[in-house]
Amino acid sequence: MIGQTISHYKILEKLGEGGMGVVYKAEDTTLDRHVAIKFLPAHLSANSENKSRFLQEAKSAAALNHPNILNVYEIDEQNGIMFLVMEYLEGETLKDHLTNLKSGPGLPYRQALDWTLSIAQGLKAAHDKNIIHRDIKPHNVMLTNGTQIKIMDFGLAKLKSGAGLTKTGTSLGTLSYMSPEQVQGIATDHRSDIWSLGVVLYEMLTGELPFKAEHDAGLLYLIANEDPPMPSEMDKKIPRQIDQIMKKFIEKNRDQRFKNMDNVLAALLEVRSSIESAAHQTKTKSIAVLPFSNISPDKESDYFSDGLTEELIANFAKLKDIRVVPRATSMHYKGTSKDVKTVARELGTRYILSGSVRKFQENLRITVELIDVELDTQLWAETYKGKLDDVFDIQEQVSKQIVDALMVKLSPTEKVVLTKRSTLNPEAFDCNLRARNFLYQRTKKSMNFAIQLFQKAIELDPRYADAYAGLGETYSSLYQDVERVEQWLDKSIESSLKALMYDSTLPEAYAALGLGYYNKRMFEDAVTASRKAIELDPNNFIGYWILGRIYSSTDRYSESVQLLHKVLELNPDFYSVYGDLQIVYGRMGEKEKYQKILHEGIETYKRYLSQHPDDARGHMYYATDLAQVGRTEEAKIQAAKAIELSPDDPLMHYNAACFYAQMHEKVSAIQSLRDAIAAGYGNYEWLKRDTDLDTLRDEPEFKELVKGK
Amino acid sequence: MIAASLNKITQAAHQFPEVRKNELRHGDCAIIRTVKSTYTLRVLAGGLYEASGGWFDKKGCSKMKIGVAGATWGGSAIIPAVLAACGMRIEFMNKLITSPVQKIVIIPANVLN
Repeated sequence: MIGQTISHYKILEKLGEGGMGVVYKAEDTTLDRHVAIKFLPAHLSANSENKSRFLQEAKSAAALNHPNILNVYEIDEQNGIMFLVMEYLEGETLKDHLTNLKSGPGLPYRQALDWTLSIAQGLKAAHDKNIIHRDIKPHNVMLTNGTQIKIMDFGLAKLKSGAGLTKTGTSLGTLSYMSPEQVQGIATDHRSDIWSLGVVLYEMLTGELPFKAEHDAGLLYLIANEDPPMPSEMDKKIPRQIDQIMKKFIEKNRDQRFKNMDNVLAALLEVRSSIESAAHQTKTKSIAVLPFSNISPDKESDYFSDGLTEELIANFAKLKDIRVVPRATSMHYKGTSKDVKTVARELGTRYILSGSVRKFQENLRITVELIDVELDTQLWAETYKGKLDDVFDIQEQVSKQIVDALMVKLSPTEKVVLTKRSTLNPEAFDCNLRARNFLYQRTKKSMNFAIQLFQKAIELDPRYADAYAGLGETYSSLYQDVERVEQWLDKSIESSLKALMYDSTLPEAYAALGLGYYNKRMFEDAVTASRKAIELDPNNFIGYWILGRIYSSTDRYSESVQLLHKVLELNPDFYSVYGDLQIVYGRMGEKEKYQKILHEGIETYKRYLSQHPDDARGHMYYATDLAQVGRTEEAKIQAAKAIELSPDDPLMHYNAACFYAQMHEKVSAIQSLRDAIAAGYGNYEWLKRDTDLDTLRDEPEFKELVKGK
Repeated sequence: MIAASLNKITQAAHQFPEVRKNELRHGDCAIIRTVKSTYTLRVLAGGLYEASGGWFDKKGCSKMKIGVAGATWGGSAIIPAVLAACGMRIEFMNKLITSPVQKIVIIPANVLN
């Protein structure tokens, strides 16, 4: 068999053998990946009943298609021999990983919680199909690439016991991980898996099993009757919040245990975020940097005062003991007439930094004031005068003074970060600020301006990492929001990598890189880049958004929802998240939450578009949401407005086609499709598969449009 | 008449690829052919079944009152809501696991009484 090619699988080596088949490692020559193939023995394949049984089993296992469960790709037959193609996993079992740990008896609690979350996601998928694993233990959890969790031994994996044998008295599951009801021989349900998962979490955290005895009888007694010491008693570094969920996992009375995997997931996410925020809040000082007012004679210098505000926020975000309100939230207070106490209360901060900028030709005057709202005191105020060239010195002084005033102790690295200058060229700095201002407007025209200005900044300072990162983000946004042209993504990734070459600590560069990889569907790389962006800047909403989207497309809905809500918390104007949340809630079957987010989205669009009336994409999304709640006339007005604002944008016409198709306005939909193609829309593969256009498929005009494409 | 009763039973019996526990009512009877044997499960109250045939016959304990844990593929994974499914095995509460099921016939209680 080894060396032969069956269908498009080249057999490489034998992995194992059981009563119901032999398993080989093979190479999928079409998709250029390794797979595991299980063959039904020839003498069994000859029997049609065996074939149907094999097929039945395979279908049941294949139904469990989830990123955290060993995947079944295909069931096929060649020359009368049936075979099953499964994911080939390389890595180590969680058991081996725990046994070989060098860093301590258990895993860091954050990692233990993350891996438990992944196992819980896989189990939820199984429980949703009424399948219970009953043997969850670290031996049955595979770690691939060191991070990806896969649950093994569902269904097909244990066909070793022979086709025709009736077995009795077998103890299913491994004793140490068994629930009290399992050891007592009572009917088990999904709550047994919850218990076992709790035992696995306990072992990951402490490196010890909660129930240990020299003999099986003693172990059975302990499982049924005794409570183990809680993880925080075993290791003081383990937060006590984890004890609370551990009790709910290994509650002897299953009616008192977590009811289902949804509850488990919610509790794990909650405990993780409460530990993180508790750790953060004990030491941090919260500050809001309000947009500096532009008092220059030239009102167009708004970009400069906004840019300075943003630079300061970005600087503070890098300091671990300062919690700074994200830029997008602060910008809502531009020109506000509210008093500082109200603003501080609304933003949940104690300190408010405000100021003004006067820029006239080469002259610069910046006035800054720091208020402690709780003590109702001005902590510090200063006026800086100088030339445009002095802007970097002023920025550095402001940052240092604030850190001193807040009595924040900086680490040596933070001291470097705070004084680090992204460029020494004031003109390049100015171009970068102008470019960012255009990028935030998110229209095709503004993004093209942004590209030119970022390029100009790079021309002036060829090692300007911020400008490369901005360029990377703009190219990806252009691909995402305007034109689906592959070269934008290549340019985005190239620019972001250049940014990282010049400054490997720049969160914006990682976020831009994540965006590029995400749009290229290189999810693993996108996840790594996004996590790095968040690690360097906890306010980096782009990082959260990419992760939220990836988790949504890999069925990790609970995590996706949490991440997407985090994006809204950090940037309430990032409206495309409302559409993302609708998709996730729709897939979860959460009708009430779907409706809630739909209505919240409508309110946001209304507010946002009153401040940004030229955002064509916003008008189009608004139209789609209005149509969903039956406000069709208003929806049509918004759709028309979007086209009016962006008449040359192929994606806008395409979105209009989807909008009209869903409204069953076929004539308008076909016309919009024609306009999209005329404007340069060329992704026919997508067009042919897009479910939003399903109502048009039988129309002769539609068939004509896609003919031969 | 015996012949008439058998005729009635045959007509009323239905074959299923899968039978869920909640589809059966008290007194219904499931006749299940596995690779090795044939089992008869008659639905009693409280989630119990009167089990006959196969292993129960061999051990001389037919008509045993017993619960069914669910349907398995032979490994640990189980679907508790399913009584029997073609291609899967039945797991009883005494840990007895049958060979794979090939055919399931249900005879409603009203036909048997």
